[in-house]
Parts: sequence; C-alpha cells; structure tokens
Amino acid sequence: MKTKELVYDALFAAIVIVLGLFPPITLPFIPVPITIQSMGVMLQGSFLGKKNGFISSLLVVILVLIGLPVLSGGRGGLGILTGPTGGYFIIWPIAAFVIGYLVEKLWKKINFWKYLIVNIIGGVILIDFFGALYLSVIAHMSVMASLVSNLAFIPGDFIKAVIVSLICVATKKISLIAQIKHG
Amino acid sequence: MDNFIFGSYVDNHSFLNRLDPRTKLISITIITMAFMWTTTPFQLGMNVLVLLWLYYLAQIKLGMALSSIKPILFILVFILIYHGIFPSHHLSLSHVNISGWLDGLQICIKIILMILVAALLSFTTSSTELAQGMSRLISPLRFFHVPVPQLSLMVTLTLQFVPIILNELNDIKTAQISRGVDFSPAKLTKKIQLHVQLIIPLLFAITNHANKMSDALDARGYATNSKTTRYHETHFRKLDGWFSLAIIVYLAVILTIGSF
Repeated sequence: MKTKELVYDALFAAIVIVLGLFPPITLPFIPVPITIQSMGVMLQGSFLGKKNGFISSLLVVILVLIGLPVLSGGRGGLGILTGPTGGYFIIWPIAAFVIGYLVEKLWKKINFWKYLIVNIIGGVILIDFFGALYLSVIAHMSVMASLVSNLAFIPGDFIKAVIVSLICVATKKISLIAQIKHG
Repeated sequence: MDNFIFGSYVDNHSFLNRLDPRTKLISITIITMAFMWTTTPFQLGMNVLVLLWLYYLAQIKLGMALSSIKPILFILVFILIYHGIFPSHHLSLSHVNISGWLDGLQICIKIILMILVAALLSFTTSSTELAQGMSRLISPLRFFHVPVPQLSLMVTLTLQFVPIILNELNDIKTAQISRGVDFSPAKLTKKIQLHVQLIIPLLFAITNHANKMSDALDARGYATNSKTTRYHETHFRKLDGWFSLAIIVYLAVILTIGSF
C-alpha cells in the first residue's frame, strides 16, 4: 500500500464525516429529510476504487465504533450497531467495495449513466436492502414490512446517486483509480 | 470540537474504566448477544438487573445514557405500532387483543437495553484506547490485505483532515457567494446543482492537499510496511479474566433459561 493511497483513504473518510455535518435537506414531496452522509460512501467507492473504497469506509466504521460522534446528528458508539438502524451503516464498506469493483470493471467506457447505475446498485439497493433485513431481525418484523418502511428513503437516495454521478464524471481524471491506472 | 474528539468518554477511574479495552469490546459484544437472544419477560428482567449492575460498576448515571435513545424514538414507536397491529398470537383482555402490544413493548425494551449496554463502551473507554483495542482485535483482517498496522495513522489523519476540508469548503462557498450564488433555492434541480458545484471544486482542492501530504510523509521517510511502537500499551490482567468469565457465564445462563 502506497503512502498516497493511505492519505487518500483518510481524506475520504474525513469527507464522509464532513458530509455528516451538513444539515439534512428537506424537500416538499419526500416525507423524510435527506441526510447526505451516505453520498460519501458512494464517493468512496467511485473515486477510490474497490480496495481503497473499502478501507476508507472501514475507517469510518472504526471511528464510529470507537465512539466518535461522526454520524449525522452527532451519533456514534457501538450502540449504533445494536440499534435498529445499524444495518444501514455496517454495510458501508461492502457497498463501497461493490461500487468500486463495478466502476473499475466499467472504467474504460465509463460515463454518467454507468456511474449512476453502479451507485444505485451499490449505494441504494444494497444498503437499503441490507438495512431493512437488519431492521427486520432486530425488531422481529417481517422483511416485507421493513422493506416497505424503507420506501420513504428511496427518492432521496436516488437523488444522492445522481449528485455523486455528476461529481464523479467531472472529477474522473483526478480520481485515485485514474492515478493508480496511469502510474 | 472537543466533544468531537473525545466522544462521550467519562474519565472517573471506575472498575470498568480500568479494564483492558479488548476485554470490554469482547464482553460487551457477548452481553449484546445475550440480550439479543432474550425471549421471555423473566430473562428481560435479568438483563435489566445486569445492565444496572454494569452502570453501577462504571459509575455512570443512567439518565446520561438515555439521551442516546432520542434519535431512534421514532423507529421504536413504529416497531411498537407494527407489533400492536399485527400480533403474532392471541391474548385477549376483555375482547381487546393486547398480546401484540406486549410483544412490541418487550422488543422495544430489548433494543433500548442493547443500545444502553453498547453505550457503556464509549463511556468507559477513551477513543485512543478503543482504537488500539480494536486494531488488535481486527488484526486477522490483514489476511484479506487490510493494512491493519496503518489504520491507527489513518485514524489520526482523518481527524486532521476534517477541519482542513471545512476550511476549504468555506473558501469555496465564500467565493461563490461573492459571485452572486444564492444558497437557499427552492427548486430541486437547483439544489442538486448547488451541491455538485460545491463538491467538485472541493475535491480538486483537497486532493491537491492530499498529494502534498503524502509527498511530505514520503519525504520524511514514512514507510507503510515498517513496525512502529504504540503510545498506549494494552495489558490483559487477572481482573480482565474474571470479568470476561462472569460475562460468559451470564450468556450461558440466559441461553439455558431460554431453552426451557
């Protein structure tokens, strides 16, 4: 692992923390406020690639688990994991890995739409599905019921995937994937 | 900012404070499992007693911990109502089926207990200690090419980067406001555009910063694969052994009661 990768991983973990400090966006037609922190996970995957995206995300998980209030709303600590929403968070490294893996696979001909599809798969479907599964186990609910309780978040997550994809197209040249591929 | 660095750690030299961070990490995971596999009200009562005992050992007031429940209150209410409306079996009290509400209440209490016991970890252990304990515990991950020894440096770097990014973000925002950008639009497309316009220059600026930082680290001879010494050494003492044993016995008790 090169020093550059190490610094970039730390940098993007810090970006996730900073995104958590943003106030949630409220939109008239979506019932729940959108926290833009999970955008950070999509960024980690699509900017850093599978390996570094995973490590960078793992770094955030470690920071949360050691009790630093880095999740949106100043939350942190092992209690996040044992709470009903723990699934939406503990899956982050896997989600970043999946996004990174797909982006690296499609790298040669990547464009906005491919970024968008990849981020919807890894950053919306995977996270929400696993989060709902986790919620259903913790709260003894049927998987269907917790999936339905998820629906309110889907439009916001979709918007986040669009934002990340727009950003990634514009910053493709300086992304760590490009820097590693071209030495 | 202080609160951000130190989390919720309370330095009061209590019994739990003095334990090895690894002991606490493992014990609290085991207790959480015991709480998770609780099914009867009797077991739930036992869990409450254990929780009170642990808070006594940590010398932390329970009221302080209860504030961590607030953010998930909404979800707890949802869970309660769900179980109330869709009861899994029938128990009628003057023609009203209350079994669902009782089940829901039991599950909510169980979740609250699990959160409270996990919160103990951050109350009794400083972040540096925990970071170290955790990096020792996840060292098997190195077989999956996770650079475990470097993680502690990366944790520090991450915390250093946060104020740098915030500064950079402020500069970009000021520049855009001075050019007449309105930061409170109502339309969705405008909102998306604003975020994109803010984050793209941010990424350019901070990756620049990161490149300089990694050059500086290299120039000062930082090698990513060398062994370094630690600031805090962890020690596993007799006390840790007894505490772990007590916790494991408790898990066994809960499991045996549950199987009857």
